[in-house]
Amino acid sequence: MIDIDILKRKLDRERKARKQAESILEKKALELYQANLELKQFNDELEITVKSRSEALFRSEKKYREIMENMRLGLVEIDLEGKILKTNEVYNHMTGYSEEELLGRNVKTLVNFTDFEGALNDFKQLAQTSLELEIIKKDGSHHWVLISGAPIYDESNKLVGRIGIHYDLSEQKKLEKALIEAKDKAEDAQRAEQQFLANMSHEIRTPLNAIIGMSHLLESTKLDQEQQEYLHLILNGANLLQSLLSDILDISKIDAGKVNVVNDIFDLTEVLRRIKETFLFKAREKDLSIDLSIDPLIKYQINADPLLLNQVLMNLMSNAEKFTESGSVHLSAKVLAKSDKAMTIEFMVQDTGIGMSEEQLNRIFKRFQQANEVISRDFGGTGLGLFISKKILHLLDSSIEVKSTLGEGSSFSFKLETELTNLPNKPLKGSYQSDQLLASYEGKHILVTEDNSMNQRYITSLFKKWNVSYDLAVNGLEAYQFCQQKVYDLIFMDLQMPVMDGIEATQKIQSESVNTETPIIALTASTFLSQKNKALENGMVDFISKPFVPFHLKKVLDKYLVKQHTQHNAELGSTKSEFVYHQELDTDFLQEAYGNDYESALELFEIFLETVPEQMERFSSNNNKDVNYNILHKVHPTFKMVGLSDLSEKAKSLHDVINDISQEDIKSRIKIIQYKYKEDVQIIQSEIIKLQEYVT
Amino acid sequence: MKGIVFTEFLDMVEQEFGYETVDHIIEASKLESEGVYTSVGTYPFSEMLQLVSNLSEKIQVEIPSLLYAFGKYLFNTFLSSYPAFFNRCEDGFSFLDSIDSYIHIEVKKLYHDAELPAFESKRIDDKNMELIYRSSRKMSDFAEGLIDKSMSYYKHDYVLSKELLNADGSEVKFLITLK
Repeated sequence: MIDIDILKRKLDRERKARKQAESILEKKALELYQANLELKQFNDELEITVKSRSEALFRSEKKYREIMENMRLGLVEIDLEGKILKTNEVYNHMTGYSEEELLGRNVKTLVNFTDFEGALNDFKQLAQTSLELEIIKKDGSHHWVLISGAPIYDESNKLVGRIGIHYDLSEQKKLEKALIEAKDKAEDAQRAEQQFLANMSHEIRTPLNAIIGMSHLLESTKLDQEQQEYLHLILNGANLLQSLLSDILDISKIDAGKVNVVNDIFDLTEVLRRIKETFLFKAREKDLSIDLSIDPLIKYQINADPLLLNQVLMNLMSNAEKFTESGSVHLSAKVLAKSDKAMTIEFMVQDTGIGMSEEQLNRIFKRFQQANEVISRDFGGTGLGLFISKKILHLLDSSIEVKSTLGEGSSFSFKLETELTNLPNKPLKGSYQSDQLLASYEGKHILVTEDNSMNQRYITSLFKKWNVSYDLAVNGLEAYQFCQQKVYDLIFMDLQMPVMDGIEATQKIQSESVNTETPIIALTASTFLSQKNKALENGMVDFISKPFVPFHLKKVLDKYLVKQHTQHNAELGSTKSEFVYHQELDTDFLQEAYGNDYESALELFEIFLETVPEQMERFSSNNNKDVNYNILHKVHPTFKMVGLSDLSEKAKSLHDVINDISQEDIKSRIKIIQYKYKEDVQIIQSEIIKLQEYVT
Repeated sequence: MKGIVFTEFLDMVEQEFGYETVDHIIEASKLESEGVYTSVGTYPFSEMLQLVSNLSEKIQVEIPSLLYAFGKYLFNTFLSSYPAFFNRCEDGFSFLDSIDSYIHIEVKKLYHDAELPAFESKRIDDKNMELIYRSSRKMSDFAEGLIDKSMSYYKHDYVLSKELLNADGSEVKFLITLK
């Protein structure tokens, strides 16, 4: 048995241990309670934090989702194989499927794109970030979208899939299609307009040609003052109509991009002189001088577009002449920079005309705009010239500059870069032989091929007047038949004819006839360059645009039938100063007729003195009307040739009316002519001496 | 030292030698606690040393053997009180691995003031494990009893060897080799 004391101690220890345990446990419980309180507090705080973060996250997510939905962006998440993991409402709507139908489906089956796999790879390598393609909707229809791809990575940064953001392009595509259709329509309309203009060009030009041609013929018949005035009005009207027509055609050609820059090697000085000549003719009626200065550095032919350059210069000169009542119009070409290969030339047209205000300057380059309404009333014109010039210069990589002071005059200039050649400029020839200078076409035979009866009459009348021997063919076939029998010196060929057209006839004539070498000149009512080029490509050497004035026709005859005398000492760039004719003489005409060819001028002056005085003596002592008529007929062109324009005019007008006026009138007129002649002949004599000195 | 060590020790003494021996060693020692222990309390380690040495004297058994036997005894208490520690391991090595990396961490959570020995385990290969015991209490014999019981619990056939890493026995290396 255990000792009672031991038991007592055991019980005592156990009681104390229990109490100790209770107090420890109570303390622990208190600690636990406290800890629990703290935990609860932590928990509450955590909950608040979590809640606010969740709300923020939710708001952010909601914001982006709303943005996506607002932007109507379709979202689809796919795994690496392309299997759909998640979609949004917009994407479901785009595809026409529900989300349940889409999940697990391969996205490849939803696109109309052959190399979608490749595109996905590109996305992966970031080589491409967006792609335009068609998605295939549930109903089988196609829908254009723009897809942007972005990779999806897991926590360990491993690529697990991709997200595709789809932007609906169907509206844009519709718009694009509509735009293309509208563009096609507009282009069709433009083509139709062009075709219309081309047709109208032909249709209007043919009758206009007849009006102008017949008016010119009418001009050389006997007309009284009133009739001449009316005729003058008809011609003016017709000329205006013609220039308006060609301006409108020019604009439509430029707008259609049909005007091509065709460079050619040519003598610039020749072009400039021709322009001057043209305007001398017009300026004669006013107190206006036309001056030309050419930089002596322009010694060689240049490579540029002569037709376009000519057109611009003609436009500028035409304006200058139109708006300048007296003073001068000065055309100049100045070399600004020069290398072995190229040359920059500044062309300038300066006038002393009415000038323009600042405000007017701003308007003049616009289509159909002139400086003001008064101008269009007083000066006429279409207001298209400068607009065309500006467009042409744009084609030539140049631009027009204008300076002007109201009441003092204007100057228009532009710079042109040209290629230089090593071909020297052509020696100066005697300028074109004007109507009054009768060239000899004796022994020459010409074939005219023209189907229009009015044009036939016009051309053949001129030929008769000029004593040109000709045959007339009414179509290409007939021309070809003529050409098999007879050798011609020159053939005129209309392009559009029934039975056989001009091109075909030309080819036949040049391949099998006795006229294979004969120069053939195209007659064309079309101003389109392509027509002219076609003519030139098919063996024709030159062309005349209908309507044409006698001067144009004459120029061609002279060019191909009359042997020009060559000039030795009048090369361009020559430092020799210009010969100055006596002020009483028609300087412009002489300049126009002989240019720098003073030897020819001298020759003609000498011929004049050898032949005319004899005639004039007979004229003074003779009262026979027929004899006087013949003398006047012979001398009046000769007066003109030596610059006695006034005398020539007087002689011609008497010649024209000698059969209609009284004997007394004739007598008084003869006296005036004789008196003037005696004065003038002295001038001619002194000019001969001056010319002899100058030439040697 | 945690009270559970005292209560279990005294339980073992009572079971083996009767309460008289318990009363004897308490009375023979000079104890601040007066021999009143509860498992949730904490008591000075010096009291345990006195109790053990008085028991050794009383029953004439060496202290290391007593501590070894107590280690084996306490294993059963642990097993019944904390079965979760044993169920989460499949074999002896992983259980020994978990003493430092898991069990002592959990104990520390429960008892902030617990002073626990370090058991640094290292698997040399499939068959061999090195276990280094470090404690200022120098009770590696007690630890050996626990290790033996653990290995038997997981039914291993094994050999346990022990090597003192320093003279006072506060650092000891156990090598367990599976057969």
